Amino acid sequence: MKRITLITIVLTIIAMIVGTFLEKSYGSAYAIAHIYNSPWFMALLVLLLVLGLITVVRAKLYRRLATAGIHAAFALIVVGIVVTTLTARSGKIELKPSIAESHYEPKDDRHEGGTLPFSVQLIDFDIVFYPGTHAPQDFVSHVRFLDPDGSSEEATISMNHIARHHGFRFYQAGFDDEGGVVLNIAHDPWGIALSYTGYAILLLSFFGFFFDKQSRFRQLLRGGSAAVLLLVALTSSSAQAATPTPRTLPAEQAERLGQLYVSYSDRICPLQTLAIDFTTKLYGKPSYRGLSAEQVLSGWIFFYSDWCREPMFKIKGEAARHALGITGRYASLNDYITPQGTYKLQHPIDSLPFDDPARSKLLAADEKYNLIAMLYGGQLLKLFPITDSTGSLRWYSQSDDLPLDTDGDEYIFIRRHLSYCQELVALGRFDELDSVLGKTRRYQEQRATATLPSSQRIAAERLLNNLNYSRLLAMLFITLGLIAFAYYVVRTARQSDMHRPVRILIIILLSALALYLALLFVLRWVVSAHVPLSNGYETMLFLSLCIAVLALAIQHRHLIALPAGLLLVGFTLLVAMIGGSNPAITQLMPVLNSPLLSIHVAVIMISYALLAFVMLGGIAALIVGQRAAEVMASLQRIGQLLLYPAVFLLAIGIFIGAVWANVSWGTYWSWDPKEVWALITLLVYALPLHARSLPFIRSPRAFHIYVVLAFLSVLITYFGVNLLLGGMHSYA
Amino acid sequence: MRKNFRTMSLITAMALIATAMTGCKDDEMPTQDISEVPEELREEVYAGGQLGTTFNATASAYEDPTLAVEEAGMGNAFKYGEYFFERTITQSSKPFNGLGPLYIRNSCIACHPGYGHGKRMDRYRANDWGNGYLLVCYDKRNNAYITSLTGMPQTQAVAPFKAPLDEEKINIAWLNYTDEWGNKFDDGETYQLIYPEVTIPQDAYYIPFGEDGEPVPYEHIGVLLESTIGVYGTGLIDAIPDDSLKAQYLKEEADGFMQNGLNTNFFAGGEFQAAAQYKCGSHWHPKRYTYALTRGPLQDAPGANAIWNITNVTHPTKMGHYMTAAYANTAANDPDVRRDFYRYFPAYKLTGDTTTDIYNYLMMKDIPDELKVPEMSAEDYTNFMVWHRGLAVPAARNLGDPDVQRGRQLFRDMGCAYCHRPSWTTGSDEFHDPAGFFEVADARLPRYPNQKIWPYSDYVQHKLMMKNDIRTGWCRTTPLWGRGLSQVCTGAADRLHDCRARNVIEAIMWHGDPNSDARRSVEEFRKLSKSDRDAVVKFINAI
Repeated sequence: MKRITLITIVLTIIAMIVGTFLEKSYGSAYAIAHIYNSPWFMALLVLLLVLGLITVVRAKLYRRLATAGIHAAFALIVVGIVVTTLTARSGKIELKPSIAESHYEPKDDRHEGGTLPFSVQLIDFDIVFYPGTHAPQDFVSHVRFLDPDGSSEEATISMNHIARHHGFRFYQAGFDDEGGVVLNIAHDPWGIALSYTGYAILLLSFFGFFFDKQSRFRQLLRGGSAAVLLLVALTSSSAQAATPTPRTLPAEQAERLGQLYVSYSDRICPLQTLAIDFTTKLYGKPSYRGLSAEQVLSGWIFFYSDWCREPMFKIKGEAARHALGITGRYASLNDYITPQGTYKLQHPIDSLPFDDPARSKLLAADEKYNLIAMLYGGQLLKLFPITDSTGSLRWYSQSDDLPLDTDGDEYIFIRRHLSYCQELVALGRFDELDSVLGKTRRYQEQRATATLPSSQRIAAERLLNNLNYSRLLAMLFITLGLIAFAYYVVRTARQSDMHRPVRILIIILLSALALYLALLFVLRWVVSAHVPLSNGYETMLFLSLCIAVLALAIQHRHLIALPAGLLLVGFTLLVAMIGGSNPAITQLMPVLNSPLLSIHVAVIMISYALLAFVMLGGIAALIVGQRAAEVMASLQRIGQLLLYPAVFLLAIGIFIGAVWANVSWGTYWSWDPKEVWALITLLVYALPLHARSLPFIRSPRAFHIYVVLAFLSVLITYFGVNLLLGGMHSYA
Repeated sequence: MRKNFRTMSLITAMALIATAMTGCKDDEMPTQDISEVPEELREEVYAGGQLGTTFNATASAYEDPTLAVEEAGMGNAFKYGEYFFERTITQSSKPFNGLGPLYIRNSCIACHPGYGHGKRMDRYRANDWGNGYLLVCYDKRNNAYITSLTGMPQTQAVAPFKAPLDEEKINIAWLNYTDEWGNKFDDGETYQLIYPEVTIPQDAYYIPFGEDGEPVPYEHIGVLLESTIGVYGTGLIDAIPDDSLKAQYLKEEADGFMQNGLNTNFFAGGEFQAAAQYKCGSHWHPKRYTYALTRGPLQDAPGANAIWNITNVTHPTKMGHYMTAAYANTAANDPDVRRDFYRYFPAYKLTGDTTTDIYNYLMMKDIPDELKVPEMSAEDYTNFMVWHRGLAVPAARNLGDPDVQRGRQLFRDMGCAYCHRPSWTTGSDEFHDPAGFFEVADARLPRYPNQKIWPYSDYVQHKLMMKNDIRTGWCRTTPLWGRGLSQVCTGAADRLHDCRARNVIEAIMWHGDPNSDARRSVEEFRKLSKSDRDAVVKFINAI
């Protein structure tokens, strides 16, 4: 029985590995048709399900609620996958203006077309351009769903917004020259319901498991441990090529420029905020070559010819780098255009379907280019408050169409403002520039008295802008966390507690960080006037704060909370930094800005980090353990202890990713190589958790060999998939 | 003195918002400004002179009002005038009404993306953004325009009329060209040259070719493209004195450097010929605008005309339609037009004879006075001309850069500056209006007296002898000022009359035909090292 179960699991893993390589060679349709959706693979999954249930029943696990819940959840998830495979429908529907359509075409040869139980009518289709440019930013369809009973419902579908009707979901997928559009359709209510229920039960059961005193985890936690050796290698960013620093304003004038008010992101804020977002959006960091964000922005405004040569556009994804013809990670503005004046990204973007993941990387690079176009178009710098004849106050940029009743002199002042400033810069008369900027600020204050944010809010925002240390803190806390963790393991192996000063030091560090994060949280709340949990960056900062507080709260009972807290805080800050490096200046929703996706990334990273610890412990045990069986055994206990959170977090991470994929791509599971390999990793690491059923893994030596080899699956998932297999996650 | 003048004007402008002066502060001056520029270059930074330069170097650089507009307090007029350039004209939404019956574009800005030069296009569509092309349909035997079409052929019509030319059938093919050097410099660097070949099938035309009795056989019809150029700085060009222009012609005639000589239809024996001049009252004025040098004072130059003939919006000085009798006859006899004409134009049921009514409407013939209301009012037209004369020229950039200075010197040494004459000094700017709508030196419009300006053109026609050249081969030297900002302002940096050059090198090399007036300069350019060639390009992009 156990043997059959094991063989089934191994067969499933092998089938999936083969599947990822088949996909690489023959395309995903082939792999899905011949492996993942094939009857025998389905049979394998069902067999796995049945065997699992039998095992659970025989081991009388149903008496242990959490453990039973975990297994039941997996069963539900497998059933969900089978149901999805058998019943989900998908396709594409082509709509011509105002013609109602209910028939949909197959998306590819592994699907069938069909007919909707209602019809869809395209009301109109708009291409939204980056403000002030002719570069498309979003594609928006307004549709009407017409039900057979005569009722109707209108909906808007854009790149970041899907529409739902009677269980069918509609995604923007393309358009034609005659004002028609193509929508992707997905319909999978049962599969999604089953899978989501499974995810929910899984999550609850995981929580329950850690609080179940009978659980193996708690048993292990009570035991002792041994020694781990750690090598921490933090790579620093590569050095800049020795080209002269591009010209810009002196720091003082740049700062003064940053003190102007600007209408940005639906509120009035200091121009400094925009400068920071601008620089971060382009470069991934809020400063460039030692220049402040305000200097970077003013450099772009006043010294275009210098800055268009600077390789400061951080480009992700091989497709985008290849299209731009760059070898490193950074492109200059000049790299976007061929010597013949062709925009290099146009053809690659146009030639990929809307739902191609490589396209999203190209669009991210395109967005950076268009950010410059928006700056030069003037639309970014809405500096001039004007109250029109109806009494409504709006902020305008120099190149906006000003209200027709604007006073003639004021009109000329606005239209010539940049010329004045630029002339003074060109003449090097910075004292006069100071005076012009000071007067401009007073002009803003006079014209917009009532609507300007309070000086406290502006002060809060400037403070917040200057408290930008998440990158530094992330690196610091990950490093400290790794050291502290190793120290903890060593001490525990010696059956002794942490040294008191160390413990106090970590408590102080965590407390200081918690205070800092709480300050950030409050400042953000004051500045934005809403709870700062709206994007991935803010969510991760908050999560980091919660972890720090939680670690402090439970450290007196579980000492491991201190090193683990440092490490987890470090990882969440790291993910926050990744999300924060792509601020939403334009309407284009940065992929990593969704809170769900940030959590997905953070959880999986933490899981991988824990698995790395287990692997390192395994290596240490295999080296040291030749002589000391005692050490080997205690390292096994600590490895098993860490495996629980690692595997649970991996499972949670995978399923959060599935939910996010369902929202944005219309399918929660697409057998993408990265997904499949994460699942393989999950299965591989699930085995040692079942040591009671699998005797071969019980001996310390076997366990350590297993976890060292198993780490290969993490390496393949994390690096190998991108290098060897590609797929939807090729950017991650 | 000049400096004080600038400072004063800045302070005056700021007085609008000024409360008090803040104190000066000590700065570490970065080495980046024109204080570094050698004295003789410093005035060149002000490409449009003190009164006509903007330092804005962003996408709106071609759109700024001049200091002259500001000083004359013409902000309101400029603002209203700008609307007429930028807004889409429709048939009936006042004040932006009057589109059609036939038209080339439905707005001015449609042809001048970012107020600049048109973009190179792969197809001809009136509504493609940035398409600044005008079609040139001519008789290949004598280079004359096809007279049954308007000089700038229209491809759009309002109901119930039909366009004289179906633009969907126009084919633009971009063909590769290899010059005598194999598109290669001696050091191995290569470049590419392309040129357009435009074909329009016979069935794309709605009208006969040529006037009645003198039809032009289809096989003799040639089609070429001409692109718009930037509209900024045209007021400054108007201020160049007539006798300075004549001195330039006399000098070029005497020097005899041009292997094709001068266009003797324009200038011969030390005098302007009739075709080269416009009569304004008792004055004759030499023409200075358009590739073909067809226009004189700015008040009758492309802009003043385009608001009429591109959109077919009538205004006080242009009350007829931009229309040919051949088209009017064809339309008047088209059963589709006849069926619907009175439905669309009930006010023009004047004689009761459909053919006559359609013909008379289109040709604005025998129309009663009450129907002869200009679609654009006199005030709007005045505002439009304030705006037109009031557009500043972008300041030269990076003249402090040693590469740019090197390029500037080479540009002069190679003889480029002979035709691309760097600077002119404006006169008293007592401008004229051939139509008589504006007085001489009318106080309603901004003026630019006594300014040193840097357009880099001699405003004389020369021949480049390019493959599929411009009609007649004679082309006025195009001003180079502001062109370096084209990519920023318009999203494209295509050069030459039909946008065939996609960068500066291609533009230079198209000057290199053995029979081109610029041949010697191109030979000199070819002798330069790669870094010197790059310096020349950098200089051209800096002005």
